[in-house]
Amino acid sequence: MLFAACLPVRAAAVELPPSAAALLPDGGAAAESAGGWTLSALLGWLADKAAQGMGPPLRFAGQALLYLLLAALAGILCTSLPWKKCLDAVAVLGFGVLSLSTMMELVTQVGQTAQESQTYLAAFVPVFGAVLSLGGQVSGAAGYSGLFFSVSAFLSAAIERLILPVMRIYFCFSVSAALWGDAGVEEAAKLFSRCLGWLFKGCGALFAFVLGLQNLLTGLADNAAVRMGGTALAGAIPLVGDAAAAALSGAAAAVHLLKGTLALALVGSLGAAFLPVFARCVVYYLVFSGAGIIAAGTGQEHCGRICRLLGDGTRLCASVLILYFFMVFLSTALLLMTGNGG
Amino acid sequence: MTDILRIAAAALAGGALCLLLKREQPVFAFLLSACGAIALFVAVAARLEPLLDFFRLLSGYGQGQAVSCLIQVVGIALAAQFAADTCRDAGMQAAATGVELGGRALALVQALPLLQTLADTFLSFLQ
Repeated sequence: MLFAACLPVRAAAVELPPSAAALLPDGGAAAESAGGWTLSALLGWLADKAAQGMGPPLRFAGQALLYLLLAALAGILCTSLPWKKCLDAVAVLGFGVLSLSTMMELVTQVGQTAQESQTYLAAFVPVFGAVLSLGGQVSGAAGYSGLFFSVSAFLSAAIERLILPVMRIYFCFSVSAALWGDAGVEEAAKLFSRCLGWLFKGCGALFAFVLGLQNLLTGLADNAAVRMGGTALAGAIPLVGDAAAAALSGAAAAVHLLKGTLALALVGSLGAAFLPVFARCVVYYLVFSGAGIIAAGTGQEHCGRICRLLGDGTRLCASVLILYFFMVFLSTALLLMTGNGG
Repeated sequence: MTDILRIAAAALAGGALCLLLKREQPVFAFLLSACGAIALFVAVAARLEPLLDFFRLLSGYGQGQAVSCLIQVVGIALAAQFAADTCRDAGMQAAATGVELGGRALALVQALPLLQTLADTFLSFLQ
């Protein structure tokens, strides 16, 4: 038994996501290279990124518009009522297939974004916690590394394992409701989406309250500790005690500057990860709203139903992103504002 | 504008001839009615080339099978509707019903790939 206990235990680390693994072999961007950037090159780069990000929603918009126009033309050509109903059923089936595959991709992207952000936080939080401790915010560092990181990990896991499957269920249910054609089933789908929206708002309020309270309490404790430390230093060391306390405050101020820079980098990095997906959700919502108007105008009631329900679904996807980003932003911003020693 | 006037004039002339023949020679009246409808359809189809080009353009832009499926169902619907109306002109209600039923069944068969794709999406999520 002793021999078995001496054998090393195999520890398998979680594998990095492919997007992170692809970045690591490349060296970081050198500061000198930024001097060669021009405004036109930056704008061109931004335009390329925007085109890449907005490509799928705009392509879907074109497909949806053309499909609805074709279905409307088909309805004009076939004058017999039974055949109109048959064509309507096939049209809604085709539009449902087109929309559902797009929404499943969007849900997968939302999950990937949350997962990549959590991976980034897993590397960022220890570094930021160390800087906080260096600046005298020991309680704040403990709270950030403990409660905030646990909450963000919980939220990321909840998004991946619970919320996104529920979103997929909602999208499948919406398409089924439109195919079925019963108004009651559509009302049930709308209620489902409203309940999800309320749940996200409730979670956001709860996280804001808990994290805000935690930041407030740790900020008070850190401020008191820093003031006490300064006073004790000034009183304990004769002659140079005041100068030492002033030097300590100066060093803490420099660390606070570093803290602010790191927090800004975090917000910028996560914003860069979330913003494209959030913009896609917004564009999809606009596309579904426009397609719903066209469907209503051409008399395609069932396709219009799909557009309304899936439009609500894209708003829910955007809400998931906002919930996660808001929680990270709020915690980091509160830490920046509190614990400055005064 | 002149095209539709010619088509309307041809249809009225054919209808008048059918009425004249209906009492004495009902078989020839039916044949005249069917041939007149086919001739009108061919005349209209010849002018539908821009619309068919537009459908082909839509099929090219729309990825997947939804657009091609819808176009095929439209073709089935038009052919079945025409055949059923022709049978009713000949007084063959049962044949008309059979043609319509066959048309709807074929339309459902054309829509089957879409149903399968939808079912696969649902099942892939459930699994």
